Amino acid sequence: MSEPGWFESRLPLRRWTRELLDEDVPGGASYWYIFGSATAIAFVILIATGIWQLIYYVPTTEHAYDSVNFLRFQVPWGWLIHGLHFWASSAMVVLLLLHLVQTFIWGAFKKPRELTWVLGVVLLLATLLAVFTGTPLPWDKRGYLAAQVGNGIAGSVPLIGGLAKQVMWGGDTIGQLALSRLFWLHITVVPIAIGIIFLLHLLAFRIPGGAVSFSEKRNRSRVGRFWPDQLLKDFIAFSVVFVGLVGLSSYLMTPVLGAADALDATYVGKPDWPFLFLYQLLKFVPGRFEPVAVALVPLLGLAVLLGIPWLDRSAERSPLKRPVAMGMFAVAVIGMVVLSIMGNGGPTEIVSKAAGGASSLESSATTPAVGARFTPTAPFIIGNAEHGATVFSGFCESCHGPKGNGHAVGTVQAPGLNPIDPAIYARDPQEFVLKIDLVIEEGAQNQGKVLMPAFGSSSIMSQAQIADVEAYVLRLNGVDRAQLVNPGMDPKVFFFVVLAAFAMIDVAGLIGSARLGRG
Amino acid sequence: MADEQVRGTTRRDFLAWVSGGLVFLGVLFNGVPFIGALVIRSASAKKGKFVPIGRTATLNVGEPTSLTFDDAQQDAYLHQTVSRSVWAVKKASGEIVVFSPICPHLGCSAAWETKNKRFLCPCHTSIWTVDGKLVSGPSPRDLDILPSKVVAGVLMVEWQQFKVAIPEKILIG
Repeated sequence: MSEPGWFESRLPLRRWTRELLDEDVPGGASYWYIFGSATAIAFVILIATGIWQLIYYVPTTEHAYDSVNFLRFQVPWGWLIHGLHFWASSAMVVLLLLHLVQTFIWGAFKKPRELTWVLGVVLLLATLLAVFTGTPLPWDKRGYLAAQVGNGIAGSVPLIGGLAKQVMWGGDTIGQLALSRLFWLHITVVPIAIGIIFLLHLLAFRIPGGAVSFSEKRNRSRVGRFWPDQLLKDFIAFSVVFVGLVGLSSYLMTPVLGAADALDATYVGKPDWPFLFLYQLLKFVPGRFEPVAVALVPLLGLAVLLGIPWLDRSAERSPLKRPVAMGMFAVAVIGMVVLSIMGNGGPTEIVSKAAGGASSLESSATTPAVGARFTPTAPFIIGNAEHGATVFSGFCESCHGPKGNGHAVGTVQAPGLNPIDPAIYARDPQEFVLKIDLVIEEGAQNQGKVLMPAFGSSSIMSQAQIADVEAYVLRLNGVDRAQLVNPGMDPKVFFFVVLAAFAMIDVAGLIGSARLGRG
Repeated sequence: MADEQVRGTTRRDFLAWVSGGLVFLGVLFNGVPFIGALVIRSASAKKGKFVPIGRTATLNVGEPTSLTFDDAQQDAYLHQTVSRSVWAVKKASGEIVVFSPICPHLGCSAAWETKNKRFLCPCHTSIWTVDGKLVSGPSPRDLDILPSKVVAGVLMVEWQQFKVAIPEKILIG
């Protein structure tokens, strides 16, 4: 060893790195051991993309939705930053669950690693809390509903429900205070807690070292090294996670769900997938037992999960020799998966023609516009075309025909919208929307006779609903309302560049590692 | 044994390069988008928009008139209507010129003085003629003329703002 240099003698980064990486891996490195570090990678991506989203996002009920869409469609690379955050949150939960399942099967939670397990379970809880507080932030239809339902559920929890409501939502009403508090929890308290717990988890893990294989024979037969053997596998896991997340962000863009609308009851949302099993469970429980399902079942489940190291105490680690533990675990996992799948089925929209209809229009058509000056916001809200179709069938179909085909269902015949008058059509979605918005907001008259009611200025439809209908009319004419204005780079091209670059180095690394290893 | 150590070192060196390469790609493919989002302009090109501000018939020749109108403003994701006012002057030829009231010196509001027949900025007493030509004062240039047109007797104007405190008329935004 040569003398440490000027920098190294003052801040021994090299020595610390060496000490950090210098670890035996009995039984050799394995791809089974990547889930922990892959989870950490997802967390780092979430922190980085989260910080970047803060440049644009504003936590106000008025502008949260528009600010998120501004980031997604107008800011160069915004689609990637938002997409990575959206998909990495799911990835982190998936990887955490895989890590947990693997730790359980390998018996890696057993003495002396009980505390590492407990910290891991707390980490899972904190991550779920991050998902729970993050979903409402875009203040779209789903986020708004998630906030509302979450608040309602908290209300039915005995004893601490009221307090939780006050802390997370600022009370019973879902409005600005709720958004502010969820935002505050999501970007400060929860991620800081995750960071601290993660560090403790890692420190506790390093005391006995990796649990490695449950086969003592394998562990004695050979000893691998963390660096470079396991780290190479961790790096390949990082490549797969990152390339996968970029692929999801490029090909499966986060859905545009339309602005939150307290007046629109036709939207039926689902909770985020990690909570689907609880959501489904609630359907089976009669109302008066709801506190049992809402509080007792999750609490019991949590207690069991935390207590696993003390419930399964034998020194035996092999899953083959722990049939009871494995059997119960399998039942629990299968039960949760089945409940989640069941919860994912079912309707997501209530198609209700009663919402509009010609009769209600006639009466409201004579209602004068409220206020002297009416400034519509709908043309600047990026609507959800699917929901727009529902609203369209309620309000517009009777005159404009199903799917705007111009064959009126009711007595009044209005022009077809599919295709729309070429003078109105525009390729640019913003331009197109501005052209149709005025008619929807103010309606149409001919010599005092109302041809079309002023849906916007008479408040027959909310601005969020009008935005959704506009997105639908655009779609009927082959224009995507949610068009990327400034992508930075075409998402699909970017994905292929990322894929090719990572694949090249990964493959080179694997081939080189195998050849040089054999020597 | 010695041979094995040599081989081990080569493999480690190689894998250090591979790891370094993957870290580099991670930094590159996150860094480019992150920096891009930070430094590339995100505002969409704002197209010129003429707003009707009044009837030409109400204007008298040689008498600047203050006209107020609502200007739809786009500031990132905020869409607001802002009240603006401009000075419209009908020339003897019937041509109409529209001046921005923003003083090119430091951005105060210039106003027409009916008594003295001149534009005056009250902040630092810059003075212009009825044609917007600079007479005296610290203003670096004439009053800024806004694009305008007349459609069927209606005066339309496009609101624009220019950099102040410099002799050149440079559009902002």
